[in-house]
Amino acid sequence: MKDELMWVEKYRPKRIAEIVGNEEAKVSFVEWLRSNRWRKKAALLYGPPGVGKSALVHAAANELNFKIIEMNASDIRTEKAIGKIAGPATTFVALDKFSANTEGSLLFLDEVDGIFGVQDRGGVGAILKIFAQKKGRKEKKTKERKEIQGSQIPVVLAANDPDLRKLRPLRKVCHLIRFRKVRIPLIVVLLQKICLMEHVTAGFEALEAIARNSGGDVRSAINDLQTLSEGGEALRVQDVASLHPRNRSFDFADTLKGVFSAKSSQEAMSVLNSTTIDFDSLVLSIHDNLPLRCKDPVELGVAYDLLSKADVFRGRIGLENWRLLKYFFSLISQATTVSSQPFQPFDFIFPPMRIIALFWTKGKRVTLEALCAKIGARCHVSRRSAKLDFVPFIKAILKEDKSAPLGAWFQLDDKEMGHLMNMGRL
Amino acid sequence: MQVLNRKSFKLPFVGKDKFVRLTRVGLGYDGGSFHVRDNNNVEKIVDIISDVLGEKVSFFQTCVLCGQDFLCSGCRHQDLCPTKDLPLQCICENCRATPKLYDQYVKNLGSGKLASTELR
Ligand SMILES: Nc1ncnc2c1ncn2[C@@H]1O[C@H](COP(=O)(O)OP(=O)(O)OP(=O)(O)O)[C@@H](O)[C@H]1O
Ligand SMILES: [Mg+2]
Ligand SMILES: [Zn+2]
Repeated sequence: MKDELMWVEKYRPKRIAEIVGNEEAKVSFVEWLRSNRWRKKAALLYGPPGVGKSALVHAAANELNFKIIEMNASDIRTEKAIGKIAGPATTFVALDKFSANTEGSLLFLDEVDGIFGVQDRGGVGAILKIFAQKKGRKEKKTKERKEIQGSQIPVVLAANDPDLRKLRPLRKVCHLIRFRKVRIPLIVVLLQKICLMEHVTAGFEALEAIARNSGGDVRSAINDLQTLSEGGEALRVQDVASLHPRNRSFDFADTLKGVFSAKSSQEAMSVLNSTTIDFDSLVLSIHDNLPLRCKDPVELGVAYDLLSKADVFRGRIGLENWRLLKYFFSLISQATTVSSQPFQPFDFIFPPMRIIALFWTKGKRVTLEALCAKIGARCHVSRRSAKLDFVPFIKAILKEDKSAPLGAWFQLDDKEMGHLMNMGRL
Repeated sequence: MQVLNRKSFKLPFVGKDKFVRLTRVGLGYDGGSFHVRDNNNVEKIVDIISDVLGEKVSFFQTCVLCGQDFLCSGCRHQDLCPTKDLPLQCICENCRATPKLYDQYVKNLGSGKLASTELR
């Protein structure tokens, strides 16, 4: 791989101005944070994926010297935990303020729709409690009471869809900040900068094509740029034509977020039942993202094993075999929920063509596909499974002994043999 | 079609009902002229105004780099732009050709502008 780091990580905005687009939202958020309005209302940043919502919170905290307390895991976002940090009369903040070089802390509950939406563990209630302004007569008389109401620290929430039933009550106690898909010319500006930093030669029209294809999703646009420039050659507009259209990126993001944040395989299963992603892409995407969800090597092994079983079923799901779909989904949902650790949001890798394009230039890819088809046919596994589970071993065996009967058994020709021996690590 | 400037525009008498709705969805009113106060629901603003005027309305775009007002009608991405004609910021045709655009963008936004309401 040319670059160990994903560019979305490498170029994560450090300052507010580095976030392109959504100028109105940025201003609105900064004003809210700088004023004292955060005492009365939380901020709810909402909008489509990959446009800079999380990035803005981190960049603003960095620039305005707030320390972020991030509560990601659904388990700890209980009413009690949230109340402890942001609720009135907390000792937490008082201690913090002694430190001179910080404005204090900021509580960030990212991706609240994923968590509150699926299973409310009192998170919404906690937020409502902190900000609910009781304007009863009694309250008005005692001014002191009023002053301690509200939050002790800024509370920021981020979500894709604030209209979810579970989130609707929050709207009243939140300063709503809408993010929109980023406009094409602004995405181009960012892509140009990244090209400059990465010494990628790219035509303006090629970058425009990536931006147009992104559907206003900056994260996808950056991922696509990285994928396309892995080959190291100058990027032309024709090269962009091979990209997956991103207008369905919401499905990808939704599905991946859904299956990986699910607390049970049943929950993951229900997400899969409504996905519109095609099954090959689904398997590939799960494959790409599993290591980000599952950090424990043993659990990761179990998950990959389940996925490979799912992949076998995938190969058999034909028109007449829709019953198998159930098994397919069931195995995938088991794979994505193997980890015993609570879900922490991460940047999903998608679409899956990335993994292919990263390792194989186009010509080589065709040879590899042919090779995997032969191996798959012989071993009764899918092409994909042949690629991932068989090729590395066959390669190792043939490297050891070029004349091993294996090559003949698979009916590999010279070109395929050569390719197999000389290819890099999968 | 009518083109409006989000910073200030006039409307014929809208009636009480529509006036209340307009202010609720984010228009501001100061003695005779309206302005877009809140961008969250600009689509609704456009709908109501179009209804009042009996014709399509679109808003000027403001260039983040040079501050100039311009129209979406000249843009070659309007076929795909989901926020076409809404009162938002973009980059004008002239500025799109500027080299080192990103650095200028960051510099522009960084120079205290974010703190003011100027960007609204
Ligand atoms: N507007 C932007 N300007 C610059 N970089 C961006 C922008 N939006 C996204 N990115 C890049 O994409 C990455 C992911 O963006 P971010 O996490 O902010 O998306 P998000 O809006 O929170 O999406 P989600 O709804 O999926 O959580 C960032 O680390 C950054 O590299
Ligand atoms: Mg996010
Ligand atoms: Zn301009």
